[in-house]
Amino acid sequence: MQFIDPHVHMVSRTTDDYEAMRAAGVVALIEPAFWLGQPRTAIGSFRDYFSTLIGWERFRSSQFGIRHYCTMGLNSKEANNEELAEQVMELLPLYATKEGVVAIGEIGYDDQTAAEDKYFRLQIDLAKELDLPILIHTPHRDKKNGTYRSMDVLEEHGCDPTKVIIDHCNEETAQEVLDRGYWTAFTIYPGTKMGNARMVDLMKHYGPERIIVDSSADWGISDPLSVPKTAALMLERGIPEADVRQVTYQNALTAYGQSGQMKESDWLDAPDIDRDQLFSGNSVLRNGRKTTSADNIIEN
Amino acid sequence: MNGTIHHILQRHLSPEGNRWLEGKLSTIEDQAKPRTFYLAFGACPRFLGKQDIRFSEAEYSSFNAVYPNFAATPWSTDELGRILLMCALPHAENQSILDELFVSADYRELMALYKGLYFLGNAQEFTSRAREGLRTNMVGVFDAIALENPFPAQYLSEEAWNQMVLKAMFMQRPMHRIYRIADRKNQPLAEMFLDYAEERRSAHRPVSPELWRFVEGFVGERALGALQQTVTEGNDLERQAGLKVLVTSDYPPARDWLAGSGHATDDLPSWNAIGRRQAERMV
Repeated sequence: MQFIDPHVHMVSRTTDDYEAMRAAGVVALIEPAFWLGQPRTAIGSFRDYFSTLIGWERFRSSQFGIRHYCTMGLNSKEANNEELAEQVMELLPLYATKEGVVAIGEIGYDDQTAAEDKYFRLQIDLAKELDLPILIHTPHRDKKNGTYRSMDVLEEHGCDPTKVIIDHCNEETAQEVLDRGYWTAFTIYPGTKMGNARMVDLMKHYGPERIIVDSSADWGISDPLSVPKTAALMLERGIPEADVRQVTYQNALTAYGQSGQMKESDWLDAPDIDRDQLFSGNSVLRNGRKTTSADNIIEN
Repeated sequence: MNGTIHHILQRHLSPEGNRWLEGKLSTIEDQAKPRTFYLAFGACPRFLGKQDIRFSEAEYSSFNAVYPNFAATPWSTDELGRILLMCALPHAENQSILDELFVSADYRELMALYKGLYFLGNAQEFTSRAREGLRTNMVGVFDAIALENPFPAQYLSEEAWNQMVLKAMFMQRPMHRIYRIADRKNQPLAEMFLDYAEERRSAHRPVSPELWRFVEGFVGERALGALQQTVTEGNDLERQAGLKVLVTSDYPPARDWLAGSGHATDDLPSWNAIGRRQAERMV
């Protein structure tokens, strides 16, 4: 099967991860702009990070046969540094229109402060101005209120819920998010069996409509194979392949494809791996090493 | 020279594309506001499309008058649109406005920017920018500067040119596609390539037959030894390359060795033919 991981922070991952993802069937991924584990102190750090997302990381991914897309935004944690946040807001229009930028995100709330609220709203306006989908990060603490409040603000700004992906949903928030018409995304964190098993139960309960599965793999303990592993467990537990495909591929494509920046033909019509892009100097694929594709590296 | 691009591009754009581009060009020509330029530059694929343009022979000859080697690479609608926007910036300001774009550009934008530099009226002011661009590890961006582009041959110093050519060899790029490669051969470059050949042989790694074209015209004692090894131990392409260098050399020991070796030296392929055959084998 082919998969899309619509939320994964590849700047923190190794080439082993890229090879494993490709071998497991991941054909495209989306890398949301987020924070780096520690706060940035200068606007240049944001600029270089944004440039990496649209340039170097996109190239690095292509060398492993995976199409790379990203979202652009000021994350909620760093919105609390208002002096820097103002400068990031000036930078964003420059990056939000680049090739492969499929949404404004991930934005929303962390501590639910006034500053977070301010920059959340400004970025919703930017997304509307540029007619881009929005990726919402829902907070880890006080999740239920943070999630509902995010949707209230989106509706106050007149956003169409079919252009918004609400991420990091769980058993407690899913029903409300679905009822209000949003794309409802779940991040599968390891210990994977527990995460995967929960997702299978959710699928059995809600079915595949508007449900999206992602890994959110980053610099912490996380698994870049969460999407294919979850798909494997779903199949094993009797969920129809068409439904599995919908939540691990098609829904993400439909939701983010609304940007006009992501089309299935980007990977279906692409050469398997851009061979003329291989080189043996100071690059990603050193010494003319070929990428491998194992038959099956999925184990639950 | 942007009159030529403008005139020809108009014929290949849709009516809506033309209207959009004309609007942006006149706004920028009235007043070069960075934000207007950046947004228009970014939006070119959306409004002009990304398809490669099929030019007529007459169009190619017009282009070749302002941009040598224009016919050697494909050009897309968004790419030429972007270049036209670059050319619309006043020379007094284009460096500062483009510097900002160079550091925030995406992959496709970078390729358009570097392919477009030669079209700028003050192109020579962008020499250090081109050098900076050559430090990239993104192959498409490197190729946009190093291959078929007339900018490096025209504007890079010998030192910068040599670094570019060496890096192209390291990256296994098709050397024959570097524009005016024969005209800019030089002694220090020949020496560096001889070092590189020794390094590769010590590591038991193959030496590209294209390397020897940089040694042609600079054969001395050291080069002769390396060439003898290439002719006696190399594959067919390497042998042909080695012989080509020896046959054109006026270094007496080279001539003597060649005469005594009994190798046939008529019908040797051109350097570009050797490069093309080598590129085919690399795929």
